[in-house]
Amino acid sequence: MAASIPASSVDTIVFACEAGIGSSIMGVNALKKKLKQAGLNINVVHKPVRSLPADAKVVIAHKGLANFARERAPNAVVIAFSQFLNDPVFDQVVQKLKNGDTLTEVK
Amino acid sequence: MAIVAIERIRLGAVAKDKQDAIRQAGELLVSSGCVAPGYVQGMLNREQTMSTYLGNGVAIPHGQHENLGDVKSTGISVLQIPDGVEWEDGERAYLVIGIAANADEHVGVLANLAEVIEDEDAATQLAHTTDAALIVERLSHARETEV
Repeated sequence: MAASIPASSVDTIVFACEAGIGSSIMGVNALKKKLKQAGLNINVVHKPVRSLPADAKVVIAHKGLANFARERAPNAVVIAFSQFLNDPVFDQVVQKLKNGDTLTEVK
Repeated sequence: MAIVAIERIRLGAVAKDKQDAIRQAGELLVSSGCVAPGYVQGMLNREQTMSTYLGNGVAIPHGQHENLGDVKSTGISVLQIPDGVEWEDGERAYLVIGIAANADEHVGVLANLAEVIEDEDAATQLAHTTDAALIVERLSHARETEV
C-alpha cells in the first residue's frame, strides 16, 4: 500500500461508496464544492468500493469501508472519514492539495 | 412519478428510537410502491454499519447494494419528528428522509437537501412546519446544482 502521494501527482480522487444511493452522493458533492472553492482542478469520481479501479491513486472512503477499499486498491492512498458532510478530513485534504503538500493515509 | 410526493411525507410523527423512525420512513416507501418490504430491513442493516446522519437534524436512511433489487421506482419519503429522535450520541434527527433509488434521478433532490442542511433556519422550519407542501417545494424545486 502506498503510504503517501505528492499533491502534484493527484489529478483524480476516487470517492468510494457502498450502494451509491444517498450518503456518498452527499459526500461527493461536498468534496467537489470544497475543491472548486479552493480553485483546484481535480476530478472526483464516484465508485462502489467493490469495483474500485486497482490503479486508483487516492481513495476517500467512509471509515466503515476503508479497509475494504485498501484491499481493492492496494496501491492507493486511502483516506478515511466519519461524516459524509463537513468532515474535517475533507478540509485537510483540500488544504494539503492547495499547499502542494503530501497526502498521507488516514485510518 | 414525482420523486418527492405528498403521500410520502408524514408530519408530526413520533418515534421511540432510531430503528422505529427508519421503519416508519421505510413504510412510507413501501406503501407508496417505491420499494418491496424487504428494503426496510436493508435500511436498518445499513444504519448499523454506517450512520446516515448528515448534520443539522437530518438523517437519510437508505438500503444497501444488495437491496437494489427491491427498488421499484425512485422516491424519497420524509418523516418529520418535531421532538426529534436520538440518532447518534448527542445528535437528534428531526427530519428522517428515506431514500429509494436505483438510478441518479434523485441527485437534484439531494443537492436541494444539502442546501437545507447548510441553512439552519431552513432545516428548523422544515422540522416544524405543518404544511407538507412546503417540504415538497423545498426539496423538489429545481435549483442550479454545482456538480
